[in-house]
Amino acid sequence: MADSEARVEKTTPEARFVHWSHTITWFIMLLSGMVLYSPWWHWLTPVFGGAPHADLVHKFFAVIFIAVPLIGLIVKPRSFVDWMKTAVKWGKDEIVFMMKFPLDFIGFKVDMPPQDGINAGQKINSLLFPIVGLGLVLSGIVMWFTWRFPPSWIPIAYIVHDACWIIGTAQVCFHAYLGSLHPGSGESFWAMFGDGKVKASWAKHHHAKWYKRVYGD
Amino acid sequence: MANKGYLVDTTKCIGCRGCVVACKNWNQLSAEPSKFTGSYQTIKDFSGNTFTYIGFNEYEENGQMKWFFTKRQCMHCLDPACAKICPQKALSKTDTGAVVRDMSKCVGCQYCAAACPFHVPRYNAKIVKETKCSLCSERVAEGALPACVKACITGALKFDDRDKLLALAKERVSSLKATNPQATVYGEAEAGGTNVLYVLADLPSKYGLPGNPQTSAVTQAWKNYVKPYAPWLIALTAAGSLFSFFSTRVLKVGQAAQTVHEEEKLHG
Repeated sequence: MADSEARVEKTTPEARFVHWSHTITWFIMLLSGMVLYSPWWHWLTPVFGGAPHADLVHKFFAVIFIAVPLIGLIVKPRSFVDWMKTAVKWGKDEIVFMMKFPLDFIGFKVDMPPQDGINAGQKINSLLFPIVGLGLVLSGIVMWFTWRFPPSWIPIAYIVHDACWIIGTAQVCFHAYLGSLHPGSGESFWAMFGDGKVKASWAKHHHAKWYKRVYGD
Repeated sequence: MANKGYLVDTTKCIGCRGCVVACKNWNQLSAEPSKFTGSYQTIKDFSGNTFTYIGFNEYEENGQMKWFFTKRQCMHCLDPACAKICPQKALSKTDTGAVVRDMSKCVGCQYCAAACPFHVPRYNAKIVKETKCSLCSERVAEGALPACVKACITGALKFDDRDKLLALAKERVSSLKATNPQATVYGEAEAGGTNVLYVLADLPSKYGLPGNPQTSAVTQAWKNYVKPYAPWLIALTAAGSLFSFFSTRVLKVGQAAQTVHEEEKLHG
């Protein structure tokens, strides 16, 4: 029996670093992108030192946005593969979790089936995000180096870029809330933004399958 | 005020490129060195520093070489797609119908280039802005002719009210029909009508002009549906999260029956 107050490692330093870098770059690029997207955000322009500089900031952080996960992928390819393998593993527990989730979301106490290291909702997030990210990167490259691509690609790049950031940001709203302020999520927040450790009792409750596999009973 | 523009009578153009030089001169655009590629056409395309150029379209017909000169520049559409798509509202129409750009508003996003049915606006990396012909609206406002029209020595360019030019163009085409059955007026209805009109002695495609200039369906869908409505998805998820924040705490949904909750720390 593990001590109920013992803390166990939930996320590796590498995973936390990539997550940190992604969080920061996402928001900076979201805001600098907004300045270019619509005159509604005109008031934000001075923060970046004018629209052309917002464009420059957007491109600068785009490089980090691409480079960090790419380096991670090269250094620890297994880590990404394992994450994706977990994310695509769907069974009855995942489906039941998702069906009960709306009740949990508005505050009902529900008994959830045991979950993996990431629960069914997190699995959706884990699958969607790389797609959105890849869509943003590929369309962004076309938008950045317009003259290197056929003219017919450019309008497609714009629509893909917008669809991806909109889906991604909508997803970030849920992801950020569910990972921090949603009742019971405090631990997972510090697992990602703190030292990567969570209370064993919490891990056992929220990620039973994973806890059993990694730390035994 | 009436729409003003100019008529390009391609049958009168001799390809001297005086208009190109005048345009560069007036707009203070630097020359760009180019390489010989087997044609007299020195400027191949628009650029951030080139608002107008002459296309030297060569064809061989019945053993004879034919040259179709096409002065290319912004067409100044009556209903400009670029102005509609510009996220910064940097493009607008003057009271004479010229489509002009407010350089202080332009952020160089190049959306206008994607929307333009004639693929005219070009990016100038040096000033980080899109550029194109403004129909010399600042000259016209002072009662002067556009620089290119002023420079034209053969009368191929004529600046006037659009209605008058259209009548003139039709008259010219009807007399051309005798020798050139494909002669046509270009710009009357193309892309919803343009302020720059052409008299063409042959099919538009022979002049390198799009036969049916249109903003791509993708761009239209993006402009009309994705851009105005899709961001509400973010508002929806943000509102959902906010609702959950309060419903789980303040409203205490579903917690009336279970006053004390054993797993308070685990479950909130």
